[in-house]
Formats: sequence, structure tokens, C-alpha cells
Amino acid sequence: MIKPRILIADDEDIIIQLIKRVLTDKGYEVETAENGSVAVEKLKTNAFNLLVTDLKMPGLTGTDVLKQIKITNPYIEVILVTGYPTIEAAVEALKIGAFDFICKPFDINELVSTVERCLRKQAYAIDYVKATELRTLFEINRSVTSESNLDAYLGRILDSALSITRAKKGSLLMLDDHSRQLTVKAVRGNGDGAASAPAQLEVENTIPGRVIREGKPIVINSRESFDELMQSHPDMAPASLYTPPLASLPLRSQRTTFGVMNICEKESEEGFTEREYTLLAVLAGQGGVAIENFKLYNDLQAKIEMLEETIKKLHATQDQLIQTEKLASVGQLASGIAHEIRNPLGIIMSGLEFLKGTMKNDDPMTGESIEKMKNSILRANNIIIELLKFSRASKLELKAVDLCALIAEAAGLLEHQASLNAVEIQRQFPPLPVLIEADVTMLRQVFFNLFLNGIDAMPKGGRLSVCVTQEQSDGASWAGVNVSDTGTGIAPENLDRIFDPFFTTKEPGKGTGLGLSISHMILERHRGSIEVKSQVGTGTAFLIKLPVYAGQPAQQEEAWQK
Amino acid sequence: MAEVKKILLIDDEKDFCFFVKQILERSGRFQVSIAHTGETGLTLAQQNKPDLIILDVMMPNMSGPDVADALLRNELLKSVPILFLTALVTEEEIGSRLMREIGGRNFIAKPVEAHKLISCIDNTMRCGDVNCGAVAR
Ligand SMILES: Nc1ncnc2c1ncn2[C@@H]1O[C@H](COP(=O)(O)OP(=O)(O)OP(=O)(O)O)[C@@H](O)[C@H]1O
Ligand SMILES: [Mg+2]
Repeated sequence: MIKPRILIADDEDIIIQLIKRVLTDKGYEVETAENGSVAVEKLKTNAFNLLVTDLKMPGLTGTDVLKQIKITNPYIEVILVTGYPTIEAAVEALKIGAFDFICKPFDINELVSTVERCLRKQAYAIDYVKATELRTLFEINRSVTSESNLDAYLGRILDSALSITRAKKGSLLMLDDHSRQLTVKAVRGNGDGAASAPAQLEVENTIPGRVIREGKPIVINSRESFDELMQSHPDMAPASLYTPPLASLPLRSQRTTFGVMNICEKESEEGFTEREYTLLAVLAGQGGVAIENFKLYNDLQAKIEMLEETIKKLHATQDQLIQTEKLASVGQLASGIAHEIRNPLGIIMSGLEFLKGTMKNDDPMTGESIEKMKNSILRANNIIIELLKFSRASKLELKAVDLCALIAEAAGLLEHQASLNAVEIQRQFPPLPVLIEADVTMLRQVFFNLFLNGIDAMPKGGRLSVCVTQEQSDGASWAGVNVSDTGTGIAPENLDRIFDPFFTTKEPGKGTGLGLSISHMILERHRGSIEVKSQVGTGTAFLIKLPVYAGQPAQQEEAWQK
Repeated sequence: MAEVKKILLIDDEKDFCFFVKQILERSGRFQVSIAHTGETGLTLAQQNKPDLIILDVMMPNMSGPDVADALLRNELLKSVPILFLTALVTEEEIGSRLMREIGGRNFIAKPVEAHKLISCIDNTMRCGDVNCGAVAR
């Protein structure tokens, strides 16, 4: 890791020294400037990640410096410090691109955390730019992208080399970075030569190997010098492969040698001319570039995939956060709403009861209407109760339980209802208990909700499966629960909304739309997560993850010591 | 025929009080007086000791628990059973304030149906510990 470089500009030496000491202690490389123009000079000639500058300085002010450097170095971040805070100045600074604004006298911790935040943001922004650049390179090099693509290209190079030099045999070998073996990528040469050429060659003790090792071409223009070479290096194999004259050229880029091109046995007995050799060198150069591009492409692709994965993860985290926010605000609303709505509901209910009693005739229609109205009141009331549960701020009552037992219990409660709906509940549990730390009542509610949703999604019957697994990932142990049904599925445009409070596709009175959002919240409070996969017409699967209870190793250790 | 019980209903929702009074008195078993603030409620109770007090939890100024507190400290009134009435029942509320500090255990949540209200009143007067109405727990 390179240390991030920070420039501090302030006309007060004490402040400069203070900030410098603190940030140096934190592992940053710190430089200082006593006024605005010095700062601008330093920023022009050196690369800095961050500028921490005083706003009011004689000569160039912090804002002036900020404006000037943002033109030449858009990536640099700036934190402004000032002793005379005004809202206008702050807004102005943020507008022209300052990251944040700190008021003097400042708390050192605040400064440090602002700096850290700022550098994190910058790192992320730079990653993003890198990803974009990589993508551009990736587009340019599309010509040589696949292995077969590369082979064909190298084949064409070899063919050109043979036709230019009017040679009979040739081969193109590529070096494998790991095994240090040479692999034949293309071979030409009538009959025997081609057929007997091995698919792999060692780097040690072969002519191409020597070319690779030394990065220099070997050209042997006569039978005599070839025999000489073979005699001085008797283990240099296999001599039979080559008939002089022989040219063996490295396929290389500026830094690395990727392979070798061999050309031998010309139609005439004479050696390679100067011009032929030059052309061969150009072709070998092209081969080198092609291989480099191909490797680069593969690396890039791997990196791009990694970046995309990271970006995806970031988005997922963000989504989770948004969901949590939404739920929290609903919780806050809940108690307020409950009071405001339940009071009028109380009046309507008692009013209806009063009317029922004052009615003289026993008209069944009227009685029925009143019952219907009362039911509606209870329905509205039920939503409020769900909301109140939601806002419940009480602590979780955690204890270690077997997740399978808990799920089996929730499933058992619904067995009857499932069979009424022609739904078969399938359980798949591991042989050993899966211990988790949970508030049993709450977590049971989660699975109850999920099972009910599943049953609701299969009006014509079907199969509801629940499968529990224990997995190891990122060094932690997780319990995974897959709850899937063979029901209607969820329309893609609804997938993002099912965890939203009050989102329901069920008939009025049939669903409150709170089941999943409450479940989401409960899982969150258990440090777990929930995901959904669904296909319309096929079914839906919910995947729940919960941390496995690891016991209390500290206590166990104590016991052991005693 | 059992004697008519005197009930004092303390709730700031006037319409609610009106309807509940009608419903209860129509049964012939209760006679209901009404107070719309905690303070008037206390005065009424002292003037004419009720057999049961129905007490709203959330009221401006003097809240239900405040009233209950005052009742408990009053020699004459401390034995009068209280049925709490609330539009907002969370575990916190019931748990901390009502149960621990005051010892009141009977509560009913708005909206409430007539038959439930009456059975809750009966239970409370028998000093039962039954909670009525739908409560978020
Ligand atoms: N297994 C499932 N198959 C198909 N759709 C589902 C499934 N689970 C949830 N949904 C969809 O998500 C919506 C929201 O579900 P949620 O459990 O939050 O509320 P609800 O079931 O509608 O109401 P409640 O749970 O309060 O009775 C449902 O209305 C339904 O459209
Ligand atoms: Mg549901």
C-alpha cells in the first residue's frame, strides 16, 4: 500500500504542525504550505490525494486554491478549515468541489475521521475510473479475445513468415508462465516434421528455450554452425527437429518474452538474408503483441468481473440499508398512527353498538350491515396491531435454539391448513441440530409468514419445501434456510417491492402487506438476511441466512483452565 | 336482579364516552358517570365512590397512570378496581408504567365490542387478571 499524501495549507504555523503531527501518526505522508500560492505550487509539481486548507489566508484564499487545483487535478479532494464559519462560505466551498468543511477550533478526532472518510470516497471514485478505463482497453483488444482466435492469428503470422522466407518448416510456441513449458500453438511443415514435433517443449536444453531465457534471437545460417552448436550442447534437443538454416525469434513485448517463432529448412540451401530477418523480426513482434493483448485481455476480464461483483455487492448492501431505513420510519410512524386511528375506531365501534341497541325492528339486513361495519373496523384495527408489533422497541430475548426444531414447529402449526389447500410440506433437515441464537417467538413468526405466503401462492395446491443447511463462508458459519413453493411466482416488477411495508397483491382484507417487511426486520435484528428468487408460473424461493451460534469459547476456556 | 354498579369513565374522547355510557346503561346493570380530564375524574370519584373506574391511558395533562397513582394514594379510593383503556398498547407502556408502578393489570384496547367491554368489566370487578381486547405484545 502506498501512503496517501496530504498537503496542509494554513498561515498559522501552530495549526500546521498540529495537523501534521496527528496525520503523520495516522500513517499519512504529510507536507505543508504556509500560504495559498505555495500550496498551488506544490500541488502542481507533486501528486497529493488530499488538501486540507485554511479558508482565510493572506493572498490566495482556500477557495482560490480549491478553484485553481480542481482544474488541473480533478481527483484531488479538499477539506476546508475555517475559524469564521458562515453558511454561505460552506455552501460555496461544497459547490466548487470541497469534500467537507471543518470549523476551528476543531476536534482532532473529527478532523481525522473526516480525512478518513474523504480518502475512502476517493479510493472508491478512483476504482470506478479504473474500471471504466479497463473497459475501454477491453473494447480495443477485442480482436484477439479467445484462445482459438489467438491460435488462428498466430497461425497467420507463421504462414506469412514461411511465405516471406520461402522456408518449409516452422512452429510457434507459447510459454506457460506457471509450468515454464513451451506449448506449440501453430506448426507448419510437410509430413514428418510436423507430426513428430512434440506438443510441449522444456525451456531447459532446447533452442527455443534458450531464446526464451536470453530474450534474443538465434539465427543459424549454415549446416556447419548448426552442427557446431549441437556438438557444444549435446543435450540441446531435439536436433532432428531442425534442418538449417534456422531462425528462432522471441515473441516479446517490451518487458516479457511470451514465446518463440521457429523457421527452418529453406527451399534453397542459402541462409536468411538481412531483409528476411528484418521481416521475421517484425512478424515475431506482432505475435508478441497479440499474445500480450490476449493475456492482458484475460487479466482485464477477470478484473472487470471482480469489479462488477464488487459493484453488485455494494448495490445489494445499499438496497438492504434503504430497506432498513424504510422499516425504521414505519416503526416510528406506527405509535403515532395507532393512537390517532384507534381512537376514532373506538368511537365508531361503540357508536355502532349503540345504534344496534336503539333499532326497534329486527330487520336482518340492518343487523347484517352493522356486523359488516364492525368487521371492517376490526380489520383496520388488525393493521394497527401489526404496526405496533413493528414499532416494538423491546430487546430480543435471545437464547440458543435448534433452528430445525423451530422451523418444524412453525411448519407443524400450518400442517392442517396446508392439507386443506392440497399443499404438501416437505422438510429437509441436516442430521445434527443447527444451533442459532434467536428470539424464538419472533423467528417463528418469520417462518410462519413465509409458509403462509407459500400456501397462499398455491391456490390449486402444490409443494412447499423447506431445506436447512449449515455452510461455511468468509470464515464464519451460517445457517441457510431455503423456503420454496411451486406457486404462482412473483412478477419481476414486484420483486423489489415485496419487502416494503403494506405491499400486497392480496384481496382487501386478506393481506396487510406487512408479513415480509416484519420478517425482514426480524431477520435483520438477528444479524441475518433474506433474499428472494422467483419465476412467474414456476414458483418462488426465499433464502434466509442466519449466523450459527458459536457458543461461548471464553467461558469454555476458563473451565478448562480450572 | 343484581344491584346497579357505579362506573366512572375517564376519557378525553367525548363521543366515545357518550356511546359507551349509552351501551352500558342500556344493559340495566350499570350507572355511568363521565369525566373528560383526569382532574375532574378524581373529584368525581371522591364525591361519589364508584365500584369501578374505566381509565384512558393517554390524556393531556394528567395521564391515566397519573390518575391511577393518585387513586392508589387515596385511602378511600385505593381499593377501587381500575380498567385501563387505551388506543396505544405497547409492551413498554403496559410493562413499565402500568404493571410495575401501579399494579394495574386490566386493560382493554380501543376499538372494543360491547360484549367484550362488559365481560372485561365483570372480570375486573371480580379482581380477575384477564386482559381484554387485542393487544400488541
Ligand atoms: N411465496 C410467494 N409466492 C408468490 N408471491 C408472494 C410470495 N410471498 C410473498 N409474495 C408476494 O408478496 C406480497 C407481500 O407479502 P407479505 O407477506 O409482506 O404480505 P401479504 O402476504 O400480502 O400480507 P400478510 O402477510 O400481512 O397477510 C404478497 O402479497 C405477494 O404478492
Ligand atoms: Mg404474508
